[in-house]
Amino acid sequence: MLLLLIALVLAAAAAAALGDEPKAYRLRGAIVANAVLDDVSQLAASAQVVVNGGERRAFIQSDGAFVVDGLSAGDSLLEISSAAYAFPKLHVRIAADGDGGDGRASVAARYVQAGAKWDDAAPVLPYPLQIAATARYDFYTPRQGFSIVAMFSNPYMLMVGASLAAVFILPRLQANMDPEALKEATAAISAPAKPKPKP
Amino acid sequence: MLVGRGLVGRGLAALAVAAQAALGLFPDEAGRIDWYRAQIGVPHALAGHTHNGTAALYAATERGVVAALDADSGSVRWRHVLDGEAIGALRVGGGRVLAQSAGGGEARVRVWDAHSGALQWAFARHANSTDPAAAEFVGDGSGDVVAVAGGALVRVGAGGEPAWELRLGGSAAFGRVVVAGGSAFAIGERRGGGGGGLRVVQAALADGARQRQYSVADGQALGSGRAVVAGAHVLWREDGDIVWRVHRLGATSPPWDLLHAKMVQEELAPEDMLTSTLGELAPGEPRFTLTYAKAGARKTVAIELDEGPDGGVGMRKLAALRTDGAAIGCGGGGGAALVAVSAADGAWRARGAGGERLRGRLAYDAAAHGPVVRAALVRTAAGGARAVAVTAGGLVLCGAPGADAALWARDEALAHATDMALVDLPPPPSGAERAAAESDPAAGASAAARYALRWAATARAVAAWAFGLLRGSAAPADAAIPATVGDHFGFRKLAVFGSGSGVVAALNTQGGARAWARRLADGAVDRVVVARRCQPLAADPPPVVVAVARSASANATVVAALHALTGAVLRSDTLPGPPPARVLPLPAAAADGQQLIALIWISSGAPALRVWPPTPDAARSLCAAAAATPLFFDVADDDARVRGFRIHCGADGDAPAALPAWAFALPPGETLAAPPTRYDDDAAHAAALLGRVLGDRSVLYKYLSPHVTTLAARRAAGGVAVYLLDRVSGRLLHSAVHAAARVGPDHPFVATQAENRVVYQLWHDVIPGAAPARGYVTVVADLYESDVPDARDARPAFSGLDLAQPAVVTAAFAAPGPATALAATRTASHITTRDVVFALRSGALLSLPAPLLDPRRPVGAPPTADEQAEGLVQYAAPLPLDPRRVLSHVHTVAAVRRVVSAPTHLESTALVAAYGLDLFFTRVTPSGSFDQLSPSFSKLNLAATTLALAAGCLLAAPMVRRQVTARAWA
Repeated sequence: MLLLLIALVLAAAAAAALGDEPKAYRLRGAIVANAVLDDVSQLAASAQVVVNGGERRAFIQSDGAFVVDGLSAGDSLLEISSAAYAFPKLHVRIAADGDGGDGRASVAARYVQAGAKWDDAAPVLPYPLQIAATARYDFYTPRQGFSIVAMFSNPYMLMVGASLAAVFILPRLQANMDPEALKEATAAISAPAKPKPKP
Repeated sequence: MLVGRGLVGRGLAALAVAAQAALGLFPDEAGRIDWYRAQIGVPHALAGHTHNGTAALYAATERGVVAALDADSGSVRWRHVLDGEAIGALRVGGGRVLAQSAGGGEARVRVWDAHSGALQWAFARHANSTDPAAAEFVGDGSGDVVAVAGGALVRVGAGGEPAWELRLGGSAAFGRVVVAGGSAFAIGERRGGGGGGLRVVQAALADGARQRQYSVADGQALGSGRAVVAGAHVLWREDGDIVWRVHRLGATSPPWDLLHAKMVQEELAPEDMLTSTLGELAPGEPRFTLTYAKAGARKTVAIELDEGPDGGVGMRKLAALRTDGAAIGCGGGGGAALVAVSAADGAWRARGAGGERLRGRLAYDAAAHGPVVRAALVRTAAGGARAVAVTAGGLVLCGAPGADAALWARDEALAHATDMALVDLPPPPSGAERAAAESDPAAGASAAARYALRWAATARAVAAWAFGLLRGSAAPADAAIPATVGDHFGFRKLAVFGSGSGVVAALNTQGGARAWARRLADGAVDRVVVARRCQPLAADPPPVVVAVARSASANATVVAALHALTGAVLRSDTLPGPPPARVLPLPAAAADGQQLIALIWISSGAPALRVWPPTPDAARSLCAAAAATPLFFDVADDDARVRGFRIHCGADGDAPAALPAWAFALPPGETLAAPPTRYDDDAAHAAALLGRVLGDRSVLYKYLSPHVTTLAARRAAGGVAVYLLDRVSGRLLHSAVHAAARVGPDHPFVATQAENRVVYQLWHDVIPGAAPARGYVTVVADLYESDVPDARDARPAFSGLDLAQPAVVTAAFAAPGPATALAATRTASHITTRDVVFALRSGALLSLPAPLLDPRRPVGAPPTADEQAEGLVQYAAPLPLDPRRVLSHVHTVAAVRRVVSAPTHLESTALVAAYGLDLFFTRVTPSGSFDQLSPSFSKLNLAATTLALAAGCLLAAPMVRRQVTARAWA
């Protein structure tokens, strides 16, 4: 099934080998717009396609298309190097055994995770590659502005509130109390605590 | 050790750990605590172009950058960094920019949109690094390009697809392309015998059919001053001849013609012709320059070739300029003109093709930036002109006609920065010092007057602060503070750079204001060393930086001591011969407090050693220091060996020399891929805690030797070996073989060391435990005195010669991205944990906390209670790229060569500087700003709470008084 998939996904172009030079292939793809990145031309001046950690690099055109030249057959890691957007990493397998002498080879690309085993069972992506941004980097921590709720939830403000309540409200409560009840409460407060009877 | 299972969960756990300390940058801090400078490098090709009414200056630089600059402001409109590629041709036309480059085994042609900088197409062809390459627009409006790449003449069209290709053969080094008359011509200098000459291959532009190939201009070479390609013509002068011969490309009969011109006869005498030189003026245009000396003066004439109706070639003078000591250039983009800029004072004169005369002046500091070496004339959108000049020191200037000052200037010297040293600055003056500075010396005689003046100065400072507070800024703007004045927190320092263009320049770390710049030599400045730090009293000796530069013209080394605050040269010595291989600051000082520096030249025997300054006093001081504490250094003097040496003095005690101490030979089949890590700072290994407290309260003691160095070797059998050596004894402390790793220009080996931790990163073709995955792997190795808790070396004195073998704990992680440099943050007392800063190729500076890189993170199981108490989280292979930890935030810090961290006066805060193509400075607080108010602390809340308390007291006071009075009467 996998071989069938690979066979169906044929590379569109391959650079012919010249003399003893190692056979080099050309890989095509495009950055496609999505909700995260709605204007791919923003990437054109700042992002690059990087294969195998810098072995091959390609700039991105204003329509998001890219072409990576000089790839050799085998497994490669393709990344989009951008300082502003996150992109998925791709495992690209160029199979020379599909080269029927016409300069073409089969290409199978799959999403991979950093540090994880490349899983051949993962779905093969269509070719030419269509890669979409997964996130736009948010570099900043929003600063909390002035909030009246936050201010009154401040422990200091709660202490102030309790003090004010003690100063303003308690005298009024005292004034409204029955004098006898007040006297009893005062006596209860001022009376020394009775020791608990020993068992 | 990389494990792929359960990545998501453990990755989230790691992110949670990272987020604990990741306070992130507040939006209003961006640009306030950091600064960034985007640079392009020193241009070697310039072209002006106006498209859709917008004029721009396009530049190809020695840093492999193609950039578009605004012609009126010099700001960068767009730029592309062609990392590792050397740019050859730069052509602009029809709203497109063509850049031909080579590198990495390929010749490339790229066409960009001139306005937006977006790539239109690219073409690459396998080529050897020595193969010449060239490219030109076809010029028919199609945007197609004819190029020589990989030994073939190729026409490339939209999409980067070759329309046709013609193999050129190896008879000549074809480095020139001309498109004319429906044909494409590849022109090259003949190889082998035959006395030189040019070989021309003519191909049909439509289908690439070979039309003709022939030789012309026997014995001539392009660039020799006697032969040029001017449009569709090849022009040359035979040795001893006073006439030119001209060949129209493709012409068969006659193959060449003699070119006589009345203008030449008027301009110069026959004997002047014999010493004249020809130069190319505008690529693709039928123009060239003739430079000759007449009556002791040098003159340059711009000449245009034209063809008469009979097919004969004629010529006319476009402009003539005296060019004594001047750089000459031309107007690109069809604006045929000639400009000469005086190398001495920046005065420029230009002649337009229409005969108009322009002049102006580009005033600049020649001592700081060197003479003008390159010039160009750029037409603006309104039809005006701009003179552009590039100095040897890397300053790009642009001026308008009639103006005495430059319209704008870009200092690109620091795009070629080779080294940097941070110099502490004196604190700002106190009120008393300000009063003393501002007062009349006569008034200072009275103590009362001094007292009054001091209070007056303080009052003025308070008033200025209050006024600033009302305006919204309590602190004075950084721009208002002199670049050589520090602050109370140690945030302001001087970053002294050495550059590849021979310039030493000092910038303030807060804001980047330039304090001074000076050009020391016509070669690169290899090292900058702080030889004397800033002293607390102004009367003390000034801080000194020592710069070691190459004098390319004199084949000598210039060693200069500069006043760190003014840039004044205090002492300069020129040492004949090549530059030293190592410049080593020594832990010894001369009598004046200036640190001694060893200059080391490597030879097959013991290295030659010189002490700087070259005085008997300095040599004696070094010998005394070496007698007290042995001094060692190491050199990697060939591909397979690292040698260590001990500085030794003779019996007379004043002739230091290097004695071999040890040699570390790489195993057979290995070659050095990355030399021993740079070492000139003991503080990098200093630690506040000698051990690591484990969850059960036992301690693992750190191996805190300042002599650990890391090197990498390429294995013939494949893979990379990494060695940790002790540079005193040469003993191997630890080694690791990464069988599937690769190191090279595209996959750099980067490493950093801090305390007992070594962090390095390298590319793996097969990731261990995750095969067949590929990617960069970050390896962390922690060195301990023993792997047994509480066990340590009990000897009272430590010696590098007999230290015990360390116990090493390692872990590998999937790197957050390709890194070009690593560095650990550094604070004043080393209490704050150290982040590791990764300079990623994407242009991000990522700071990762120490817990994430901990090799003791438990693998495959959640941490036990003891491990949790130790602060360990479960191991996860990926090191996350948390955007809140990207120090450079929205800035793309391109091609970082080195990251440096320095302490401030606040223990919580470290400075981080990155330089390469761009410059970036910021402050970091790896453990949070524990000794400062939190950035999120609301001063408004504090003020409101205080006011509310005060109001409550004021309101309650009369009531309490009444109650007390009433109770007294009750």
